[in-house]
Amino acid sequence: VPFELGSGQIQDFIQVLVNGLAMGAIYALIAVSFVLVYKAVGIVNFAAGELVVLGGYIGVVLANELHIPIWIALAGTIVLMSVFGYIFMLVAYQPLRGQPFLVVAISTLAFGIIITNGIQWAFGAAPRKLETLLDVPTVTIGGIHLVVQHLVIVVVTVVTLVSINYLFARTSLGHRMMATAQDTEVSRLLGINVDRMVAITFVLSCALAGIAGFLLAPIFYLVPTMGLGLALKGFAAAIIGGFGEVRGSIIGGIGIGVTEILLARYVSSSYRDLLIFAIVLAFLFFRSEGVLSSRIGQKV
Amino acid sequence: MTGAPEVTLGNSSAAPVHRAGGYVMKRFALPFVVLVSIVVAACGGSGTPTPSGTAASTEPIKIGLLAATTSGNALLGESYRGGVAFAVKEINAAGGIKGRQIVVKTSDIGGDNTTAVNALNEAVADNPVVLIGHPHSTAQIAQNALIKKTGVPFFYSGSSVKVTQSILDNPWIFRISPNDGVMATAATQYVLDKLKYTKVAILYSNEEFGIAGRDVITEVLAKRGLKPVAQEAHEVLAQDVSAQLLKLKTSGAEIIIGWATPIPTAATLRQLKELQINIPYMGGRSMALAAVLGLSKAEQLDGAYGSVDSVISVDPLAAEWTKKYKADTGKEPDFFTAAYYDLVYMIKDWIGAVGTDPAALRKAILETQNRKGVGSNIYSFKPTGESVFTAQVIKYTGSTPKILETVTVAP
Repeated sequence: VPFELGSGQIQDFIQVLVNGLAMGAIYALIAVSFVLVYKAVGIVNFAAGELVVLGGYIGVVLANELHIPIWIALAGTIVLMSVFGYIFMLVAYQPLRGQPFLVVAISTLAFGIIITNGIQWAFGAAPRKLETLLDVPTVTIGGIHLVVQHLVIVVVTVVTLVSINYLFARTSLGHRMMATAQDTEVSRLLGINVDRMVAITFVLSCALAGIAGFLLAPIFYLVPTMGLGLALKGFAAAIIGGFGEVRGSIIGGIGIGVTEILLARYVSSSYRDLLIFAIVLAFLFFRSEGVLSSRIGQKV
Repeated sequence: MTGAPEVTLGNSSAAPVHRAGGYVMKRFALPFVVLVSIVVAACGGSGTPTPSGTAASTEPIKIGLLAATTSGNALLGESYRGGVAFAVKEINAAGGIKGRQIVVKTSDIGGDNTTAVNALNEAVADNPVVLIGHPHSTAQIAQNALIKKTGVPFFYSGSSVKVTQSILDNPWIFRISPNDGVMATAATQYVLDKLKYTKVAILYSNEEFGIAGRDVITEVLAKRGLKPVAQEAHEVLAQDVSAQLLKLKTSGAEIIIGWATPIPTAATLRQLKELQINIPYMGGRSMALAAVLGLSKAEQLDGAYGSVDSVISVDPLAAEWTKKYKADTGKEPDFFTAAYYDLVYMIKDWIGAVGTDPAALRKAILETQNRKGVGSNIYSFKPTGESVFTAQVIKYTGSTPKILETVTVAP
């Protein structure tokens, strides 16, 4: 521990830790969104960050413009982002299916740029903000001031990721999706509707991005161009997780969220991102299989 | 050259050919007409702006607006583009400049210097009479050489003191708001002299604007034999500064002076309250921008100070204009909106007085002293290109700002 713990310092540390956990949860959702698509069709979705931003803006429209109660707006965002995920698959992936990795990756990149410019056209450049899911800004426990939305983010993310884990581990649909991800041809021979599984994966991935955007919008100010920074952190989390591992990506996301804020607090706020990406590089060089398994070099 | 002489010259040259009917005349008539046409066309398409002094001219006056319409810079772009558009609309509705309408061509500077330079190239190709730019220090540095080469007046707002006073050195660049050094000096002086704080912490964005602000604050402190008790940086569009604030909390600071763009400023105001850090905050010009005010709740603004260009919303002299602007656009103006609105009216008067010759315009600009603008804005141009040397120190009660002091920093 590079610092001396006094009572004030412990309070600071816990505050910083909760903030880091909240951001880490967001990164974990983005990383899982990356990984689902990668596992299903073998491409890296470079529009992942923009999809998160789109989710946030849809939340703003539903909650702020249409005045739909916030929890129903969250459900609405998930539904609309799921529909968008299907459209995304039809437009950005389906026509280029079978093309080299790079071609499809560029297609997703282009789709991301279209999303950014579309948002800017529709909403302008002024930042937007969503109200918090609970109408209590902060809670003080033992002298520690915690932002309630941070706690909500952590809880909603845990529920979401546990549900996904249940889907893959315990349901027939999840098993068919995993089989498709592991071997498309064999899955087809086994009678699995591969196209449907791929479509469901895109839908699920975009729904996760929507949840991430909706959770982020009350603690960040939404601007159309913020997707890239989020995608980079999510991508880094996926790399640390072993790119292809859902559980690893969750660990990667939480790890990045917590590490970056601890670095900013106790080492250097100026060089926080430099240090984070140095850690990511170190993973690529010295533990390319990620925190859990699978060699990244073979996947990316 | 204008369109009218072109027709006259062509007809007069052709007429004698038919009358004379001689071989020599016939032989050279066609090449002559072609040659004259080429010369006339070349003159008409030259890069020299058409002088507005030509009595019969009805050609529009072209203004090149280098504005951010995309990227993170677009946020500031919305404020000043509104001011330009509103002024142009009013002037054109009232008959333009001596009967000539103003046409604004907007080129997007995006979020990087390459796009900014490309935008300037695009704007220059249209032969504008003047250029209006975005308040962004590094973009000005990137565009500087081309502005100098183009040789038409270029206006923009603010910029870091280092950029305005030493890097640019360009006779064609004029600024219509105080440089950031004026405001950083005013903020620090107010903190030391009026609030009587000596333990000052600095929170700044880690790019030219924030670093230059930090340097000015540090210099003013040094002149009083003081040093900042802590300095923390964040990214230019940081949304989470909680780690930095918690670090500053333990520094023993009596006040935090923040130097950042609107989004980090709003994030700072919000997180100071969320983390219940009861250290007063003094922000820079962002504290009076519509973007910050639109994002911040009254309880987040309450008690915060700002050192800003001006506060249009509480300036009684600007009340009528603000009402008019809001009625027309449905948007809240801020000091950028007002300054760029003032600029277009100044451009109208300069062109109306001396035409569009760049040298004559430059002379007219530099002769402009104590020109009143919207509200309490006053412009006095100096040979350095700067025109505003005052900042207003404000304090919020709820979401209502009160002007505490107007500070003038000697040019």
